[in-house]
Parts: sequence; structure tokens; C-alpha cells
Amino acid sequence: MALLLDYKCPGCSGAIKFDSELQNMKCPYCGSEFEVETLKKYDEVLNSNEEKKIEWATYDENSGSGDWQEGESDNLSAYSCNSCGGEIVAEKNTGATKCPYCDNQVVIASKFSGMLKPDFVIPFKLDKDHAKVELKKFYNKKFLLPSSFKTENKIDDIIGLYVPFWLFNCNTVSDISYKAVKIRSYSDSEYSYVESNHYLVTRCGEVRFENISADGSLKIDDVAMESIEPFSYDDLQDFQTAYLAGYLADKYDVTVDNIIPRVNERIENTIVNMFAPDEYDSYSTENKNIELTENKVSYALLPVWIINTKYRDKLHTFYMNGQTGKFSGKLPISKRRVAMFFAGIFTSIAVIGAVVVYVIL
Amino acid sequence: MKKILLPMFMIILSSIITVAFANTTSIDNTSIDNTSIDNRTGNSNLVVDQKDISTQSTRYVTDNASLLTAEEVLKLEAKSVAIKERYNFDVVIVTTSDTLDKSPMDYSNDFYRSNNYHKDGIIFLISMADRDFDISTFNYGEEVFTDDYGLDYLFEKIIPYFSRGEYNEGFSTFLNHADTFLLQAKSGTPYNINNKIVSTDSESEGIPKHIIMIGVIIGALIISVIAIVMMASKMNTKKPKNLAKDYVNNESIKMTDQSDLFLYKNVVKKAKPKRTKNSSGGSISSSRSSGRSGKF
Repeated sequence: MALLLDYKCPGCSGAIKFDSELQNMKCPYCGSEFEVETLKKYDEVLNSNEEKKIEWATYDENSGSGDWQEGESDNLSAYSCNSCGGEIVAEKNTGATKCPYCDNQVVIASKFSGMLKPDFVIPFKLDKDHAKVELKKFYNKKFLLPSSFKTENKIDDIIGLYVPFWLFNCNTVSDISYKAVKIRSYSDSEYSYVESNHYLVTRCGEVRFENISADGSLKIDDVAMESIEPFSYDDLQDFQTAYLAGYLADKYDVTVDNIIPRVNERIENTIVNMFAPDEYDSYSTENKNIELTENKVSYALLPVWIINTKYRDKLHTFYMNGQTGKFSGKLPISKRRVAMFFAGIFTSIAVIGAVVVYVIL
Repeated sequence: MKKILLPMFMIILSSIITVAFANTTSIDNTSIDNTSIDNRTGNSNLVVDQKDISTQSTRYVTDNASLLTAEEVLKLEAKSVAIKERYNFDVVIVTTSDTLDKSPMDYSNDFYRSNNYHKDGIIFLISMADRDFDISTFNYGEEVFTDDYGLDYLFEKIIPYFSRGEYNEGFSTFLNHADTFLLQAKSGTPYNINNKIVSTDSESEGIPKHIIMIGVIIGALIISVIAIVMMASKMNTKKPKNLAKDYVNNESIKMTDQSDLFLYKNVVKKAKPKRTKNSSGGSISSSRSSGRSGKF
């Protein structure tokens, strides 16, 4: 005997034995049969693919456009909110009177410091009025909105805020393996058969991601920022303080390291989804190995309109992409209208159904 | 709270309406059935006065497995007697909890012969031991309930009752159908594969109306829940984006290698549902012409 290897069944993970009658490997637990060669390859694929972490370069003052030049940040001042602790930056002339995050009046000017100079900026393209129009549109066809909401919900403030974003660029080299199944059914005069053929499918390839954005502000709603994505990076400009005139800006307080897990998750999901063997009837991911051959993180300010509204003393915040106009928010649901629509739909379908059954049968 | 009451009231009201529909329709249904049977039996009424029947023993209905009440036995017997008088044909019903190690077919055939029934007849056996049934026809019975059509028809119409445990209804339906078939045969053109019973829709449907109505209500509930969930999901457009497809440079996509390694196959084998058919003369101990056996 050359060597005795301990193979595990790809179907049920039981230890596989050599069946001398079949002259083949057979799993004593689930009864599946295998070629020795197949098991060898299966083991090779799985052992070579130990999952690795996706590693990114760090970002510090030396990574991007460097520190502020002398006098560049002189006309910027920082403000902090006494109520929620949010910190924002504005041009001295613009000033800040209200906190964009909690809609509070209590903002105090403080010394500008601790903000790295952003590498890029996408300037605002859409104005305040556009945000108002989009908000009105957002109310349309929302059947469960309390009827008084449209009239009673008052816009408290619309703030143009440059939100700090981390932009992730990378080349990926990936090796993804899936367990995939092809199902075939057939029958003869006495039996029907369902035959499932199990495969180990491996897909290798390269994909480049450009400017995956992740917001670097603790205060702003991360989910809302993802839902107004994507920005169009054709408009990406080198940062100049002049762009801030008339708007507020936030400085990042979420570091690259903190945001990387989410970015990696999205990259993994995307590659696993893109490489998926759709020609099979079903598949599940067995192993994924994604490496970055080249990666770069940059720091950009991206334009977001924040619309703070009050309905019966409760703050409802909406967000609009200041470049594309993509709108996001959560409207309150009226329980009364839920009950009304439910009863209405239920009654009409039940009655129509009853009549149809009565007429046909 | 008052505002919630109105919708609640509407739901209750609609439920009442649908259930009421179900009731009226099912009543209609049964009345149609009765009249249609009456027509086929040539106006002769199957319902026989109970006092006419000897209460000591019944000849055509033998309920050894005690699936029926005494009153039900008498009513079934009366129908069978009426058939006998009209067609000189024995329709025998027997239930047992034990077939004495015989096959259901042998048991029913032995039963038929040992009790000296008429040469022309049909026997319907229900054996509770393994939930077996057997229908066997004798001589003229084969012409009335043909192997290619009549027996299948009976099988389809009757066995569902027994599967549900509605024994009296099952036997009663059996007798009604037997009567229908005998009448047709008497006219010279028995029902067979070329001369099928023109059934009403509801009969072929086979599902009771109140069950359809409950289905309608459940369907309406599901549709309304889905509609509400869809409306509610439109209220919140703050949704995480789990993919990053917007950021993929499409020109950069390059598949470098791929392999599809076959591992193993699995076959699940399932027997097709089938009915046991016994053609005539299949068994020495049996003198039956043809029949059906099976489980219910």
C-alpha cells in the first residue's frame, strides 16, 4: 500500500472507507460512492484555500493629499453641539447655527483642529429647493402615511452637509469554491426518480473595485448613507476649502480600520455573487479566498442634503444625495390606515372570491 | 380605539358573508345531487320506511367492524333491499376488523359465496385491519360495473369518504351510484368507457364547497398581508446595500480559471401511485368477475 489517507465524505463529512467489492471509495453513512481521484482533488482544493483576511493599507496624514498648507484652514471654524456632541466644520462666513444631526440650536464655535485635509470633494449639484421637491415626491403613493402627516409635518431645516467618506480602490484576485447541485428527474413505468449530482465548482478571477464608499462619520446614519449611494465619481475634484462656502462639513471620526469589515463584507458578497455558478440548480459557498493586489484608500467629502422635519414634536430626518438626487428616509406608518387597508383588501377579495366560487360551481 | 372598530367590523362582516355563501351553496349542491339521482332511478324513491324492515338481522349490510350505528345500518339495508326488488341484483356491504389471514379479495368473495347471494351481484368490503377495501362483481355485475370504467368511477367517488372516516356517507354514496349504474344497464346501454356518466361540475370537483370557501378566506388573508407588507416596505427607503456592484469596473473583470469537479450523485426513488387491478379469474378461490382492491 502506498499510503492510507483519511478522506471525509463531501456529502456528510463521515469517514470514507474503501469498498473492496465496488473497488471504489464508499461512504458508510450516506452511501455515496467516489473515485479515489475525485476525493484527492476535493481535498486539494479545500486545503489550498484557507480563508484569508482581506488586508488594506492604513490611512494617515501621509497617505492622502498631506496636511493643510499654511493658512489654508484659517477661515474654517469648528462647531460642537451641546446636545448630541456632534462636531461640524464650516467656513467662518457661513457659520453654523443648527446641528444637522439632532436639529438643536445649541452649537458653539470651537477652535478648528484635528481634521485631516480631505483628498477629494464632489461639489453640490442640487440645491435646497430640489430637496424640498424630492421630499414632496417621497410622500406620493404612500398609502399608509398618516393623513395629517403631509400637512402637519413641518420642515425645520434643510442643511447641505459635506459628509466625510472613505473611498476604497482595489484590484482583487479571487478563488471561490462552491458546492453546486444539478437536479435531473425522470421516471419509468413504476418509479419516479430525482437525481442530484453534486459538484465542487471553483471559479478564479480578477475584479477591480473603484471608490467603494463608506461614511466616516459616527453621527450620520450609516444605512441612510448606503441607501443614497452611489455617487458619480466623474465629478471628483481635488479638495479646496472654497467648495465649503455655504455648506457645513463633518470631519471623520470613524477610522479606516473601523469601517474595513463592512467594506470587505460588501466586496466578498459581490465577488461571490458575480462568480456564482448560476448554471447549476443550487449552490452554496464553500470557500472564498480574496486577495488585494493593489489597494488605496482616500478621503473625500461628499454632498448630502439633510432634511430635518418635525411631526407632532418628533424628528423625522430625510437624506438626499446632493449630486444625484437619490432620496432616502423612513416615514411613519399609521396603524389606523393599516387596519383600514387590510380590512378593505381582505373584504373585497373574500367577497369577490365567494361570488366567483358561487357562480362557477 | 373607535377607529379600529370599523375595520374589525368589516372583517367580521365579510367573514359572515363568505361563510353564508358557503352554506347556501353547499345546500344547493346536495339538493342538485338528490334530484339528479332521483331522475336516474326513474322516480322510484329509495327511502324506505324503517318499519318495513326486520330489525333482527340484515341481509345485505354486515357491519362486523362496528363502523355504523344501528340506524345507519338499517337505512343502508333498506336501500339495498330496494335495489334488490327493482333489479334482482345483490349489493352487499361488509365490514370486518379481521380478514382471517385471507386477502381482502378472497375474504369478500368467500363471504359472498358462503352467504348464498344471488349469482348477479357486487360486494364492497372494508377491512379495518390494514385499511383494505375490495369491490368485486359477479356475472351480470361485470356488465353493469365495467372493468374499464365503472369500477374506476366507483373507486374515485367512494374511497375518499373512507379515507376521511365518513363510513356511512361512503356506503350511502356507493348504494346511490350502484343504483344509477343498474338503472343505466337496465336500459340496455350500461355505463362504460364509451358511455360515461355526464357528471356535474361540483361532483367532479370533489372538494366540498365550505372547504373552498375557507380556502378563499385564507387566500384573501394572505394576499392582504402581502399587500400591506409591500405598502409598508415603501415607507422606508433606508436599506443597507450588501453588494458593491456599483463600484465594479466592468472592463476589469477577468475569469482566469474554473473547474467543475463531479463529486457524487444521489438518486431518490419514489413509487408512482397506482391502483391494484385484478382481472377476472385471477384467483382460484374467487369466482368474481372483476373487481378492485386497495387501501383507503
